[in-house]
Amino acid sequence: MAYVALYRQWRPQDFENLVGQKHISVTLKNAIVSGKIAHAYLFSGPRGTGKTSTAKILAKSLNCIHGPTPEPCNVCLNCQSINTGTSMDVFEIDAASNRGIDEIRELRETVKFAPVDGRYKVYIIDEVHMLTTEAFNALLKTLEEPPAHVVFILATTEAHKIPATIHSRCQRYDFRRIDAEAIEGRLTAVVQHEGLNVAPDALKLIASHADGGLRDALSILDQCTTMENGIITAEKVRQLLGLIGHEWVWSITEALAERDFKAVLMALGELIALGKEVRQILLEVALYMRSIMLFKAAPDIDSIELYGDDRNVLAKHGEQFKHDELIDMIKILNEGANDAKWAPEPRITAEMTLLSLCRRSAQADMANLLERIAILEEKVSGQSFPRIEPPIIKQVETVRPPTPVKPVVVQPVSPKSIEKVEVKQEISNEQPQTEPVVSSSSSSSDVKEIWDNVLKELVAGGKRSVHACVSQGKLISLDDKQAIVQFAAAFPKERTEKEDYRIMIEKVLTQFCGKTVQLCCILGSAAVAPKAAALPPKEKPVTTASPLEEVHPALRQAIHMFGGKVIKKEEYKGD
Amino acid sequence: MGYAEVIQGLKKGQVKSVYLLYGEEAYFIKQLEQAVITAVLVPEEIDMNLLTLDKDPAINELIALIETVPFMGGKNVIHIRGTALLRPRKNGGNEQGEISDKVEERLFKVISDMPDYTHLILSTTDKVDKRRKLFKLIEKHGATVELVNIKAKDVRGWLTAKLADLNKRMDSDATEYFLGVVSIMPQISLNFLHNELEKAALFTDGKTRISQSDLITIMSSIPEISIFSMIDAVSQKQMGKALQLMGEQLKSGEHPLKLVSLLARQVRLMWQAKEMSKDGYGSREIAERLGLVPFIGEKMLKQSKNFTPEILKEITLALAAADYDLKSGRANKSALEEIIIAMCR
Repeated sequence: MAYVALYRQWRPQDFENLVGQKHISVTLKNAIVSGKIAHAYLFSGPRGTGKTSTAKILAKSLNCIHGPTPEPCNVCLNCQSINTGTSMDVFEIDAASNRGIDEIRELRETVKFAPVDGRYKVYIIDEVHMLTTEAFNALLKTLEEPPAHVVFILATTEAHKIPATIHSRCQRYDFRRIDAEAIEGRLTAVVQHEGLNVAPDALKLIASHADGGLRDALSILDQCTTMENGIITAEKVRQLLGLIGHEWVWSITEALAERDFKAVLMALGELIALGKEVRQILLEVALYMRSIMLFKAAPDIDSIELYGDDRNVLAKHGEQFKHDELIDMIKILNEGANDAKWAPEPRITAEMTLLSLCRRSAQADMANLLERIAILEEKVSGQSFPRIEPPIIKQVETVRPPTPVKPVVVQPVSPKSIEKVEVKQEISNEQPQTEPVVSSSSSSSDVKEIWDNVLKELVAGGKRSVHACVSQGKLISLDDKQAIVQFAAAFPKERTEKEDYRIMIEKVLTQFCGKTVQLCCILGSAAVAPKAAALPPKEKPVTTASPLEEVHPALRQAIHMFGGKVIKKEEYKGD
Repeated sequence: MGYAEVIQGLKKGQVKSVYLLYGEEAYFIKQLEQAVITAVLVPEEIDMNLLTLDKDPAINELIALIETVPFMGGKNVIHIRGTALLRPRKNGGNEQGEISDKVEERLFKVISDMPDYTHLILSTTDKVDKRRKLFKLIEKHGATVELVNIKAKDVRGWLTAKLADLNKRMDSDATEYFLGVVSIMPQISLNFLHNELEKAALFTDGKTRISQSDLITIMSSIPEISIFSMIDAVSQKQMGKALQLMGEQLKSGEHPLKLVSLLARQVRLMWQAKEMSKDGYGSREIAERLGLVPFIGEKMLKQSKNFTPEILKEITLALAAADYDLKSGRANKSALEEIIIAMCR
């Protein structure tokens, strides 16, 4: 007789043998005993967790000669014909290949006929998520109110692809991933029964690699047995699976912990020489880091499967890393693995990644530095420490290249405004590619010209109503972020600030000055002395822009997309 | 007329001759259909005397059907699903010319004087034009029942009734868990809840009480449920559990974006609750303003105590960034994990 794969030989034939799905077998048994059979079931869960098997067991339970029974006999004619797939009443449909509306129509035609041998007609629709939308809709009606003798069992690995209309008509059962211990137990039983020679740690490895799917586990076992005649060890399983042994991961981890550049590169080189895939190496290291992190966070969790299941080693490694360190490392590793996908030579990416992991302390210092700078800056702008001010200003001044605006600082102004100007200038100095603030005093004719152009463009573009409103204002300042338009009266200002006008003007402005600017409208008397205007506009961008300039990019984007303004800036200083 | 009134009326044996059931809650419509049918017909008669149509017959035919004396048994029930008789009339609907006006007149007459051996059930989930004459006639001579989508805060009542039906009781923490899960659903499908409860009842066959752990074991792990327990875990800073729940969701093929949006909603609610409590609102008021069930509002408030506003703000921004990155293909699932970790710290 031809060889039958292990997972087919060991398909569970009754609820007792269903591994790891107690909540489902209990419920279904109770349903059978109490006669509360739903007309449609939806079985969902990862592959190899027993969906199709359960569906068949249910079909047998319903159609077994001994009644609807929670324990199908598996010997009567009905049970056997279901087992061999020849039953006239149980239809196993592979929806992946019969996914069209025609097949479902055919099915609907047969639904109305009474069962031949058994009590129920059972339709098992496997991989039901593959049905087309039309087919689903065709099925809806039948699914809602099938004749009393029909039971539908839909099985799928991807329940979220099932339309809600189908979903709500079915009783849904979730198949869980079978935990490694249960798989191991089942494997042990199989091994004993088949008289195979497998080392216990090999079984453990298979179980943990099967990822909750019993069929995967049995397939791997099957593969191992055909490959080997002698005893199957963990080493051989690892070879077969192409797994990178934990020892390698461990040694890399240790090298990383000790910042041993050489050891890391050597280990990587060796792994690559062994033909391991570069991305896989990075991912496994990341997985292991994650395990360490999780283990550190909650040492007593059992339910999470940890990569490299040796808790002693995990504990040892856990002591060598700090939590933040681990998070950063995982981040870097994930990035590295992503980059490796696109890199022409993934090996270089991997080396870079691992080396930067070795140097992570330096990076942490960098972050520290940045943080300290941020704190300093905050102090400077928040002027909470007036006594430290002078030296800081001095420092800034020494660093700063001479700029034409410098004389402003020399002016006898109150310390408050010095600071503001200082801060502002720092910002503009940091972005040398854009010109410094186009102050209205230096190039007011420029600004005026732009404004005239904008107004002209509005008229030319047929936006007369906009023009009528906007032309009452005056552009008084324009820098790389903001255009400030001054209005004499409240109404045109408010109207211009409204979304439609604002966007239109911003667009035109962008067209003329070549950068994206934000329109800011202020109210003021039209007769501002040109001299006085020299300073206020300089300060005004600082004061009016601050709420917008300080906002998070996400918020700015939201404003950009949906419009609107920041009404009130929330303050949490009090907390 | 409301759902409860109709059920009570049926229990007292007051069966109207015409029912119009409309609204979006298909579950209630179905329940009422069944209730009316079982009130009028005994089970043996259903085969013979129930006529279910999936679309409107021609009006003449309908009148004929209504006037047909039952062949056997005492009553006929005509059930028209998805009726379009009451659909808002389109402007310049030429199909319904003058001829049909006459026919309609006849229908009106029949409706206002139904033979006592016939009951008519019209049901639709579409919009209904309440200004039409037919509607007014049915309202006068029969019953029009609007069944709107159930709100999260009304589920408690439904749950109690349903449990009584099933002969079950639910532990108080189980009830809270159930309602908590419901509160997070953007749209409540009573059909789904009905199925879940039936399942839970079967699972706990033999005992009368349903405990929280029963519910956790048996309920389908739709994303809403996982997010619900995940938020719980996060607010208790159980990082491991939270990560695991998320991993399961992602593994089952749920798109990270869905998790992002559900998570964002929760964070936002927490933030709002926190802000409002700072302004001196009580938990009841907060719940009301946020449109939540009172005890959920309380819960939000409690959970929000574990986070500083800065963290909540940070998380909101991080979620927004993750949303953008996911949509533009820049981030993978690890972005979500980072957020969870940041929340737990």
